[in-house]
Amino acid sequence: MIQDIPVVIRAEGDRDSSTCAWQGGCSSLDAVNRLLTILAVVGTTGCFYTDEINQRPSIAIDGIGDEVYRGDKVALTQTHDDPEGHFIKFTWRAYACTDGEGGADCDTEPFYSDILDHAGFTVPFIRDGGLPVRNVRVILEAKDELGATAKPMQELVIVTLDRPPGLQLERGGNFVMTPNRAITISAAVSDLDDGPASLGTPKWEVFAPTQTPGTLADPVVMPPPDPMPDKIRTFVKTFTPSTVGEWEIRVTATDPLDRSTTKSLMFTVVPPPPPCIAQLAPIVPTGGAALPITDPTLFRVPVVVDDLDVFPAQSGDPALGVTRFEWWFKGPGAPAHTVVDNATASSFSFDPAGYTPGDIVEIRVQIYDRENTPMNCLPTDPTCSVISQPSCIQRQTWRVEVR
Amino acid sequence: MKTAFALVLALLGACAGDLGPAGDDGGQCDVSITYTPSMPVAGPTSEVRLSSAVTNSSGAHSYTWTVFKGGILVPTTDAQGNGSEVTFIADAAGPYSVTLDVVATLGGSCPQAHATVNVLRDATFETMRLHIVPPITAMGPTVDRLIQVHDGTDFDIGPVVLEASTLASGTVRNSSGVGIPAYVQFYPLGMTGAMVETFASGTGAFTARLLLQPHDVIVIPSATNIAPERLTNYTTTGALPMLSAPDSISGTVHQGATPISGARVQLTIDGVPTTLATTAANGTYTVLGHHAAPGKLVKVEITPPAASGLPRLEASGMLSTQLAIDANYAGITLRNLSGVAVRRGASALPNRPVVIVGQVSSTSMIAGLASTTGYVRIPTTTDAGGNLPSVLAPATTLFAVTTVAPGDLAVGSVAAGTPAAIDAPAMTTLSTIGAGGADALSGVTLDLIPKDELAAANAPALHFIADSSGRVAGSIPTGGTYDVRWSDPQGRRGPLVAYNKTTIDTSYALPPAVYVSGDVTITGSSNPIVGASVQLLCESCTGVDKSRPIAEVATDGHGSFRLAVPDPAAM
Repeated sequence: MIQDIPVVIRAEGDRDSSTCAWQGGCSSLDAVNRLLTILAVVGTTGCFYTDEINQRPSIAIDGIGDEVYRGDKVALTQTHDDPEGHFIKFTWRAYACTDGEGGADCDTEPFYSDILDHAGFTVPFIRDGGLPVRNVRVILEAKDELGATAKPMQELVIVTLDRPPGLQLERGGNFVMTPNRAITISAAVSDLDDGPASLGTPKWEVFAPTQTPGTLADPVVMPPPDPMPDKIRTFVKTFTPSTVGEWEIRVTATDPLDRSTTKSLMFTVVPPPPPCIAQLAPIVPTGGAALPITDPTLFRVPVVVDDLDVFPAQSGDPALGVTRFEWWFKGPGAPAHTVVDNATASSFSFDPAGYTPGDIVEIRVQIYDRENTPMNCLPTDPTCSVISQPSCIQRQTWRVEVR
Repeated sequence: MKTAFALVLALLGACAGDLGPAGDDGGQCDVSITYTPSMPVAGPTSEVRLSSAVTNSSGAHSYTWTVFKGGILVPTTDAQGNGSEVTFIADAAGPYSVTLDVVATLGGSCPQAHATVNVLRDATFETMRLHIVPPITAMGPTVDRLIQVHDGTDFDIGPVVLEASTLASGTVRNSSGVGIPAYVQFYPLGMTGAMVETFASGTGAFTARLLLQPHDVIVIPSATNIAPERLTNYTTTGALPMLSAPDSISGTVHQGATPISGARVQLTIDGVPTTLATTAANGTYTVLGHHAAPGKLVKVEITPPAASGLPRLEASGMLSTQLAIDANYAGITLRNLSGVAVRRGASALPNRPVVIVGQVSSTSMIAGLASTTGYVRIPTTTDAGGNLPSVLAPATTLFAVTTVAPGDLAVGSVAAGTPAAIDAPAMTTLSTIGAGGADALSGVTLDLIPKDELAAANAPALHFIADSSGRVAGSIPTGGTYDVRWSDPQGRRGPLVAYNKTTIDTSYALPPAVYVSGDVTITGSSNPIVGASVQLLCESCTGVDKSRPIAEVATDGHGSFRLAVPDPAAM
C-alpha cells in the first residue's frame, strides 16, 4: 500500500528564513539533497515519503519605555510565533555600552544573560572599564525544539539616562526668622547611580531682598557624621539674614555627568516677635479689683513663649535662651512703680505681713528676650504689648490688697 | 501581689475586614497589658511578668512582645505556652517600654498596645506633687496629684490625661441675693492643690473651668464690709449658694488699761478670712465672719499703728469666736531711736530707707494664747545727716535693713538700749560654683531667697546665672540669711536647696537627677497639650515654699515633658 503524503514546503515572507525540518533539523542544502533522494526512491519504488519541513520561529522584543536610568530594574518580555507551535527556547543577553549601535562600543561580555521567556536585570551604573553606562544593548535569540533559530536575532537598544542627584534641604528650628539670627541649613545630597561622594560640595547661593547680603558660613559646631555616608552626604551651612524681607537660599548639586539638581528654601524674615507671657499665677485682677492676699505668695510667670528666649528653659534646643524677668513694685501710697534690684527670677515672693492690712500694693512683671525691645507703654498701664496685641503681652500688673 | 493595670492605648484602631478580630458585638478589638509585681525592684533575679488581655476578638491569637530598656532590646520568655504572657528580668532600674502586637488567626490584627514598667532601684521614695496647668486654649483643668519619686529611678508616668472639665458659670450673691463682685477660689474635693481662682464681676457673674466634681468654694467679696465665706460641695451643674448672714466677732486691743486705737484686726477662721476692722478709740473692734466650728483653727492678727512702735501680734489656736477676743500688749518697753546714726564704716548714710525689723519677745497675748508672737517692721528714712528720725521701737535687740544704694542692702544690729549707731556693712562678695560631681555646670542658676530680717524687710530674692564653668559671682547683703537654691535648667543634675544659710559656700555639688517624664493629653482628644506648665512641688513644705517649684518645664510640641528631680537617695 502506497501512502500518499503531501509535501508541504512553507515559506516565510523572508525567503532567507525559509527552512525545512527533518527530525534533528537540516540546512537548505540538506533539504534539497533529501528531496532528490526521495524522488530517486520514488522513481525506484513508485512512491515517496517525507516529513513536514520545520519552519523558523519568529520573535520580537516587547518594547519598554523610552528611558531608563542607571540602576533601574528592567523587565522585558517577547512575542513569538512558531508555525508548528514548537516549544521555543529564548536566550537573552544584555551588554553595557557607551554607544550601543551595532555593539560597537559595548562590553565584550554581557552583564546579563539568561535562558527564559522573559528577561529581568538591573541596569549597571558603569561598564567594565569604569565608564558610565549610556546604553544597554539587549540581544534575544530563539530556537525551537527542532533547532530552528529565529533570524535575525532581535536587538533592542535601551537608552540609559543619568539620574540627577537627589537633594533635600532642611532648616533648623521652627522659629520665626528674624534679622541677625542664625539658622542652620542642611543639604542632604545623594546620587543613586554615581554615589554621593562623586558629587562634591554643592553650590550655595543667597538671594537677598536688598543689596545687603546675608551671611552663609560653615557652622561653628560641625554636625554629626552621616549615618550612611555611602548613600547620603549632608552639608551644613549657617545662614544669618541681615534684614527683613524675602530671602532665598539656592543649592545646586551636580554629578560627574553634569546632571544637576537645584532646590531652594524661601525665608520670610520679619522683625523679631516679642516674648509673650503665656501663664501667670496667681490670677490677675482686672477692672480695678484687687487680689486679696493673706499669706506669703509667690507671684510667678510659669510659661513664656518666644522664638528666642523662653521659660522654662528648654534643654533640647541650643538656639533657645531663657527669658529675662524684671519685677517692679509699688508700695502703699507710692507714686510709681520702681524696679526691684536683682529680682530677675521668674517669681517674686510677697509677704503681706510686712504691710498693714488694707494696704494696696502693685506687683509688676516685665519680660524680655535678647532683643530687649523697649516698652513704650505708659508706666501707669497695667499691661503692655510692644506689638499692640492683647494676646501677647510683656507686662502684667497685679493689684494686691493686703489682708 | 497587686496587678498594675498599665496603659491601654489600643482602643481606637479598627480590626481589618470581616474575618478580622472584631467580636460578635461588632466592637473594636482591644488589647491591654498588665504586669506583676506592680512595683518591681531591679535585681539580677527580678522577674516581671507581662500579661495580655484581648477583647472583642474571636479565635486564637499570636502575640509579639517587645521590651526595650534605654533603646536596648530586653529578652522575654514565654510564660504561658501561647505567648499571651511573658516574663523578663529587670536587672536595672528605670522605665521599660513594652509593646504588644496581637494577630488573630482568623485574620486581621488588633491595634498595638503599649505599657511602661517602671522598675525601682529600691523601695524608698519621696512624695512630691505633680502640678500641671494647661494653657487656656487647651480648655483643660488644673491637675495636682501626688507622685512618688524613687531612689535612683527614672520614672515614666506615661499619659497624664487631664480629666473632663466644664466652663462653669454662676453668680456670687450676698445674703440678700444681690450679685456682688468677689474673688473666688474653687477647691476640687480630693485635689485641693488644683485650686482654680477667678473674679466675679460687679454683678457677681463668674466663669471658671472646673473639674466635673464637687468643689469647696471660698468667696472673698471685694467690699470689705461683706464677710468672706466658704461654700461647700458646690457642683458645677447647680447654682452657687448665696452667702449667708455673717456673724459679728468682737474684742478689744489694749496695753494694760490703755486702749489701742487705730489697730487693724483680722481673723482667719479655718482658712477663711474675716472682714478687716480698725479698733476704735476705746480699743474695741468688730469683724464680720462666720463662727468657728469646734476644732477649727482660728488665727488672729493685730497690726497696731506704725507710729505706736508696738509689734504686730499673731496667734493661732482653737478659739471660741462667740466670745470676745481680746489682745493685750504687755511686757513691752519702747524707746525712741531718734538721732541714731546709720553708717557704713565712718560714712554717714543720709536719706537712706531703713526698715527696723525683728522678733519681739513679750508677755503680750491674744485671747490668752501662749503662742502669741510679736514682730516689728517699721519703715523709716534717715535724715540729711544720716540719722534716724523719731521712731518708736521696742527696746529689744532688733535689726535695721538699710538700702544704701539700689541693690546694695545692709543688715545691721540695733542694740537693745539706745545704740550710738547702726552699722550698714558693705556687701559681701559672692563667689561660688555649682558643679555636678566633677563636672562644671554651665548656666546653672542660683537663687538666694531672703529669710528672717531681709525677708521681713521685703528684700527681693537674688537670681544668678552661672558662667560656662558653673561659677557665680556677685555680692550679697552682709548679715543676711538665705535659702540657697541651685537649679540646672538643662536638667543635667537635680536641684539643690540649703536652708537658712548666713554664708555661701565656695562650691555646691548638685545632686544626681532622676527624671520624671510623661505626656499630657486631655480626655476626649488625641491632640497633645502643648505649652502646659508642669511643676514638681514639695509636698511636705509649708508657706510659700509649698508653691515654689522643685523642678518645672513646659510641655513640648508633642505634649511631652521631662523633669529633672533630685535623686531622693542623694537628699
